[in-house]
Amino acid sequence: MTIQTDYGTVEFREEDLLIFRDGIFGFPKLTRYLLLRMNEDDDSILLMLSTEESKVVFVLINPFFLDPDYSPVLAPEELACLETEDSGELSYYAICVVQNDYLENTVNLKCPLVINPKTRHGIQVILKDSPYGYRHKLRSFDAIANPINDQDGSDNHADTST
Amino acid sequence: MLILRRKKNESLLIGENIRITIIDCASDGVRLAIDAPKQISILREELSEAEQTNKTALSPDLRSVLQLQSFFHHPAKDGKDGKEY
Repeated sequence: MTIQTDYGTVEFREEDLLIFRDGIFGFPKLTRYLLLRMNEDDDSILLMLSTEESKVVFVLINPFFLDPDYSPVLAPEELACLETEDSGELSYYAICVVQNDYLENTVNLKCPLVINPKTRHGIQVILKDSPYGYRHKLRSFDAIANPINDQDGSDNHADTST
Repeated sequence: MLILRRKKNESLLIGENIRITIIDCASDGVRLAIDAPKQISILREELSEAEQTNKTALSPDLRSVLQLQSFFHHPAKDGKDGKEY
């Protein structure tokens, strides 16, 4: 099967799909997604494409890449939903809000996507009693802080005086 | 903001057709029963915020995504650069 996206044509097999039976928050009807690596050899940043609605794309970040101490705790019913008792065997991804101004990029560590790699089923959770928020500035993490040192000057408000 | 005290099984009314009843109180939470017309949306606040955040994250501009990707330098695992082409 193939889908056309803004990122090109993507070929996939049925068994490549991730299934979110309840969708993700705000998108309850979209249940089938493909996960694509953006960098060939690591899982730090990925794209998640809906195969049902080709315009629907999310950028995901491996939260452990940002914060090695990230420690999501799932509720028993969430673990049951993923058909496991061991949260250690699950994969976690955080959805990133990518802005035109990269300084404004944020990541949602409070609502990770959690996937059971064995069943390829996933859910999105809201972590309770966690120190994590909906909008952490990406630049606040050491892993990707100060990526470019002022390529073209740090201040780009030059033409916004009207 | 109005702050008031209610006990178990007591209710309060909002407007003419919304009634909220305290079903149970415990130290870790309160159970509420809400009677309201169907067309009124009732959401846990955190769920609404989660939905909103996902909607903001939807389908970002490709160029911005590529720019972000460039910040994710391969976490150079030293001594492991056997690239296969």
